[in-house]
Amino acid sequence: MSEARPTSRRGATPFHVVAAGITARLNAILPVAQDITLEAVNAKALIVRTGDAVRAFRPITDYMDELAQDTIRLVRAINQEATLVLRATMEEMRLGVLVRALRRALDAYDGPNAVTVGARLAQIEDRRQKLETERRSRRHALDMLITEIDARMKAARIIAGTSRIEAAGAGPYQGSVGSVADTLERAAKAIQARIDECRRMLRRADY
Amino acid sequence: MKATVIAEGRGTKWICFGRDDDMPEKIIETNHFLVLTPSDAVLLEPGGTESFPALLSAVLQYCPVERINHVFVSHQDPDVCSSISLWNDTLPHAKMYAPWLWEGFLRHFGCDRMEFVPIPDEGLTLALDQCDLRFVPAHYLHSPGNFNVYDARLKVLMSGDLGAALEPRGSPLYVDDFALHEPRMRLFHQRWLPSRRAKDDWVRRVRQLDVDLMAPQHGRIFRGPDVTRFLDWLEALEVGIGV
Repeated sequence: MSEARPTSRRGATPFHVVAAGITARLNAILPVAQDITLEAVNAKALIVRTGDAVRAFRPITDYMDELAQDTIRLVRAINQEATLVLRATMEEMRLGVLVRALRRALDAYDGPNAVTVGARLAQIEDRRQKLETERRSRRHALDMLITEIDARMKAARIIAGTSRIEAAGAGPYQGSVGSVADTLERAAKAIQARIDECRRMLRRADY
Repeated sequence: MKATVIAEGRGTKWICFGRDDDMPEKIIETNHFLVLTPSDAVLLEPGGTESFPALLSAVLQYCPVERINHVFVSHQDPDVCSSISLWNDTLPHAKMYAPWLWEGFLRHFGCDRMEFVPIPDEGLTLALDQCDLRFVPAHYLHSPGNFNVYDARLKVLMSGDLGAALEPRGSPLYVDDFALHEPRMRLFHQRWLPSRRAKDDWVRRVRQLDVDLMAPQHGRIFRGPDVTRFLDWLEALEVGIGV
């Protein structure tokens, strides 16, 4: 049976602070992902205007669109997970305080009236442990989702590179196609930076 | 935490808990009360989070938790009720009585298991076995939504912040010399009580009650003639002069 007080590593950030921080950082990602969607729409319009000149660019724009939708979906899923982990952690902390307080009370009194409090303490400790298990599993889910979004951003930067190659052969539309690639790369870098921050925060988290 | 039976009779017992030697120095000392009847118990002023373990273990000396069916909170201050989220899980079967004015605020502490009973401005009476406890309005003294508790049979008035004194640790439980005690109460009442009108109205109403024992939430308990001395003193005191 684990102790009511969460195991704490030196210099570690409390997990509820990390979860709140992740939520805040991810909120900043959403508009960037929406920018990618917008850029994919612009790129599709460019294909319609130019006809065959940048036809090979079409699968890339489709992929950009898909990537942006995926990113938005993942960010929302991570946000939801972070919110749930935050709630579970706060309740676990509250119950931890209660468990410690009840133990202190029972240390000071062990007469016949302690029986009900002892039984209640066992129930509360059980609830706290379930929350601890939930927090650990949600933390794992959070890690997986962050890894997934990280992989998407790596793919986005490859697509940006491919787009530049495509731009080189796009004649008079080289600038427009190049601009789409630049936007995609900037967005991917910005998202990647936020994701790296989230990862660093998770590594420093107390759990 | 020390426990003292301050009134007893007709199957009812009033127990005062306080004077906790282990309480950190900078935390204001508080008095908590348990009214015990043959089949029921009421915890008055459940206190702050810091005092919860000591108070619970002291209360267990007198009754099991399942007998505590009622918790009374006079007003919103943290020393009165910041522990309610802990009591909420310890006494999930209990009802919590508190001024209606503070319900939305007190719920921020977390009290979703105990049933919240809002006390209307005019007060209410809680019937326990042979004992009736009256929640007597004490609004603006100091809190805008505030109640005292009166037991007409045992002639006890739990007066909340009225009669409170700020004094060093280890002080006696009862006022033994009113003249000496008065300076310890003066600043508290002048600074905390904002309204002369509310104060005078309270004094007038309490004079109509038969009170042998007046037990504040901080400081010492007044007995017999000292209750009248306190009422006279408070009536003459200029309050709300902190600025």
